[in-house]
Amino acid sequence: MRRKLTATIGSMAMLATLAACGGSGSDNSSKDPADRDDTLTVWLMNDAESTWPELVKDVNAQFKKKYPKVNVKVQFQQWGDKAKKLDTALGGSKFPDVVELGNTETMTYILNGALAEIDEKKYDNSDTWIQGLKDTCTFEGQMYCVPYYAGARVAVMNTEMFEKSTGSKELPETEDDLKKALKKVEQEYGSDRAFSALYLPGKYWYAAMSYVAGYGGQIAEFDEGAKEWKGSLSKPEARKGIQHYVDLVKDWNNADKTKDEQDHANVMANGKAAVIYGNGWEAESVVKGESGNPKMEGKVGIAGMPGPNGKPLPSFIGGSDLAVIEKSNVKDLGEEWISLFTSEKSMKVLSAKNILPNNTKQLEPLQKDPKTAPIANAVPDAWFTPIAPGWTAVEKQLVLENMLLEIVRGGSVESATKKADAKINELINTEA
Amino acid sequence: MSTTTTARTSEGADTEGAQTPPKKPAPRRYRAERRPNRIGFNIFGLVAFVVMAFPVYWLVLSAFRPNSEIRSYDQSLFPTSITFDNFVRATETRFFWTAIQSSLIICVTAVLGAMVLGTIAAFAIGRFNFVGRKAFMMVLIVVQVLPPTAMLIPIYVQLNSMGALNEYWGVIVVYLVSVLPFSIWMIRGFVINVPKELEESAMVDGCSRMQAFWKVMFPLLAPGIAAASIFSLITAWNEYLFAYVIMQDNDKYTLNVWLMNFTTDRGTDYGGLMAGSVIVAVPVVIFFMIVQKKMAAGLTSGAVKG
Amino acid sequence: MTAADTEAAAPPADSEPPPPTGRKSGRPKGGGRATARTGGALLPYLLIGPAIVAIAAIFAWPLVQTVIMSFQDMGRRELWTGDSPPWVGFEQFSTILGDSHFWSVTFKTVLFMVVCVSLTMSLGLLIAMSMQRMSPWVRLLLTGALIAAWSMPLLVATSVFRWLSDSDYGVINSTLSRIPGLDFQGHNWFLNPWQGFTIIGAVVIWGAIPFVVITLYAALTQVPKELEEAAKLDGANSWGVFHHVVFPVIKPVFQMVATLSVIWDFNIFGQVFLMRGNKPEPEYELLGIYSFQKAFTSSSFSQGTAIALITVLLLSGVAAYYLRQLLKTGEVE
Repeated sequence: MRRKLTATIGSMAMLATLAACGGSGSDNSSKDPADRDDTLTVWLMNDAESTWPELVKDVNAQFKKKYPKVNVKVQFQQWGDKAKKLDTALGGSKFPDVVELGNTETMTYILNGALAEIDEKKYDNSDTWIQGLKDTCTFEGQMYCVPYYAGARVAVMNTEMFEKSTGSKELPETEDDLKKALKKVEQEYGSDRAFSALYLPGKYWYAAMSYVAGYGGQIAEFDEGAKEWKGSLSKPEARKGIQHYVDLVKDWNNADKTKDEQDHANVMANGKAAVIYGNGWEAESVVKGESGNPKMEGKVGIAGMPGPNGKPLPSFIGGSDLAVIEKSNVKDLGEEWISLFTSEKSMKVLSAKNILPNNTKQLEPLQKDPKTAPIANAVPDAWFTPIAPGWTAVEKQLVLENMLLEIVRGGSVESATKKADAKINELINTEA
Repeated sequence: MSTTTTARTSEGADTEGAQTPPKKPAPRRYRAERRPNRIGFNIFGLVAFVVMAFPVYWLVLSAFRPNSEIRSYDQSLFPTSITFDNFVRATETRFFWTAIQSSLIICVTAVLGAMVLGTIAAFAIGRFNFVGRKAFMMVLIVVQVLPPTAMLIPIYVQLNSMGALNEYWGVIVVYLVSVLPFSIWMIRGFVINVPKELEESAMVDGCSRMQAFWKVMFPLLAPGIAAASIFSLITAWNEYLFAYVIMQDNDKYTLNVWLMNFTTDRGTDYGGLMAGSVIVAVPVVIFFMIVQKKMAAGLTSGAVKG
Repeated sequence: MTAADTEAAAPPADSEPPPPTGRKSGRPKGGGRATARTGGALLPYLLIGPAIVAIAAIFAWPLVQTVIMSFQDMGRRELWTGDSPPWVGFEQFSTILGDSHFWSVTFKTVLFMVVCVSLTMSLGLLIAMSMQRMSPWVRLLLTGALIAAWSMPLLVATSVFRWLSDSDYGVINSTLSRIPGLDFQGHNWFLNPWQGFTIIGAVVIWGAIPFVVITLYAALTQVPKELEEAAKLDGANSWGVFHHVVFPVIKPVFQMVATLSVIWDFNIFGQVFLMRGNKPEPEYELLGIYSFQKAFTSSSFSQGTAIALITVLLLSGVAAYYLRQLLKTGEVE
């Protein structure tokens, strides 16, 4: 024990080389698949465990067929502190070989050299990967991760309330008609002071930025001349979008206007909102599971959200990607596992659960199915956050949320957007 | 022993005793005052009880409520529809039983270890004057002051080079060390209140130093050790970050890490979370009930010998 | 350092046994004392040895590493690839100390800590002392509540307080609104930091009380009953009894608990972080959060550790004071 401790101290002196040691090892990739006896560690988010565990099992079984001796360890991670755990693990010698990353997180890991390059050709349907996801994996023309699944935002509505007040279960297609319908809903249910016909929380920046995109604005733009990113929220089109959003919040939200969207499915489940703007799957969470209310069964539907100028509202495209860690000594196995997990067959399993697949080819059938059409149709026109080195910092430092909060509390759009731009300029060009 | 008691009594009485009237009437007044006082203290105790218990009550209430009622807009302060679904769901999750096992292995070992190391170290600094004693006490304080979140990465790298990642003993050592300074201080507070003469007279009676410790000191230190062990157990039992970061296999997660599984990207299963935390709290409460007796025993034995 | 300690501590292990055997022969009192001073000279080192080894194994090198890191510019890339981070000298410290935001965060932290610690300690002592005078059944109820409250994981306790204070469905708002003339429907307690910190302070104090009460109660059991009664018989009033009889006995424990509360409340992190839905606004940044944000969200581990070290230095003032007190009371001759 004592000797071990002394040895430990000696080895710690070489801290800097320590991390590099983790990845070393003999190159096994030339061996016969049946003889490979490595361990492949995969970190998936716990959604896979709660919503599609059979897919994980099935893929592992397929993998086992080819590599009977490889030990695949799938470890489920938790959203709350995953980044902390991954950041720390990458500094040691026990790190995963394959990780799932949210599509807004990937850039941090790519820029800091944590992810290995991948070869598109090894994956099914890579020629039709959804652009919004593909972009989050690309840096200087090279791919560093594989799109896993996508998510788009739509209007989630209480059809019973609409039918009772307007006579139709459908959500109107233009914003003007929507407002007329909302008036009627408000007349019918407005006696409850906590009721909002349209519930948009003030700090919901994904929604606010959709309105910015609806007017043709952007959060930040890349200046080709100066080769750097610049905040563009104080440009007229962006300001119009923000003003538009804040007006909607002020006009229709009768509850606390300063919240974010974390609770909105719960508001709807309690019958306190007729329309919310959320992820496609949130229609289900209003009824079932976590904060769901079983009494809402059959009363909740989804529809495309109408936006400014008579057009549909462009949605933010969310989702997850899968990546191989650069330091891993079984990179080839990692790629192979990912290719099975994102194969056409696997994507079918996800589609069956109303999760958007990673490619447009398999998206098409979903666009035809009325149940999934609103989400699937939101994908082509979707917008994404700037793919800039410091974007994660902008997001984590709540620049947009604080800006919206200031405006909702009565600050002027002008000064708030100017401040936000300054903050964005400060953060966006430095690696986070 | 009796010498110290009298010495302290006279110290206490000297200052206040001077202005007081003859001693005879005092006992009667003392008894007369005692009853109404108790009612006052009882009322205060009940108020404190309500304040401390309300969030706990709310937790238990939520654990028995269907998910849709937990965050409803018209909350009732009393149970409405009672359901065991949340508990069933919580116990049926994967890794629940392995999490119980990991938590027990880790916490029991860490607490026992901390109590043994803590008691002997406390004895050393409470009884002996030696070179480096102050430095040692300084170290104990410094360890308390260090913010664990900020040192997460260096500690992780250290454990990595010790080969402690994904091992029970890695978490055990971290917990043991984080509760050790407190335990030493706590027990030291009790060591210095035990008169030295007591221990010495025991040794005169033919006890070895160890025997003197176990037969005489230990019962007197028991309340301190009990308090330190409760503190240590709860700290270890409820720790989350280090357990999550050090352990990599899902079947080695502790209960607190397991609890976090109720939160996914798709929202939080509050019913399951609340039921889960009720389950997690049960062992702590049981442990306290066991230790409470020891505390009481230490109390009476101290009183008899005093 | 670790190895040296182990070396130093190990040899006495073989030489320790003789003293006890010597004593077993029933030597006179004076002899016993002599052994404690001379023969047992190595004994204390032997006793603290294991504790030292354990602490050093986990904290010594990481602490050195933390200090080194604060003089570098360590980001994610350096951590992951093993590239050695560039040396920047005191740059991290001068950036932080020159930032007015840091000073306002520090001021807020000190204020928050002082309020929480004084309330926690005074309420805790009050409850602990009253517990001695309560009827057993009330004491049992209260102890049960304290233990149950204490055993609630931080995440859960904070969730419960979050619901209770929620603007739309919180019980606090709906209860207050029932009072005629008050309308708290939709009132957001966290828009105004003073109100927000009141709620967070309530969580912190509520969470700390069980520890303080149970520890102080354990200490109070050491106060000899006869002593207290004797003092009362001598006509001392309650304050006198407390001041001259009770407090001197519990003082070491009281000081320890108070110091720990200062340290904990100064480094407060989880309660604020969770109450604000993992996304604390700038108004809610206290030193713990500030350091964490710098390390993990702006990815400057070095700045994060520099802030943490400044925090440690600020706290070492408190620690030094405590150490002096500690050495004054219960000093062994």
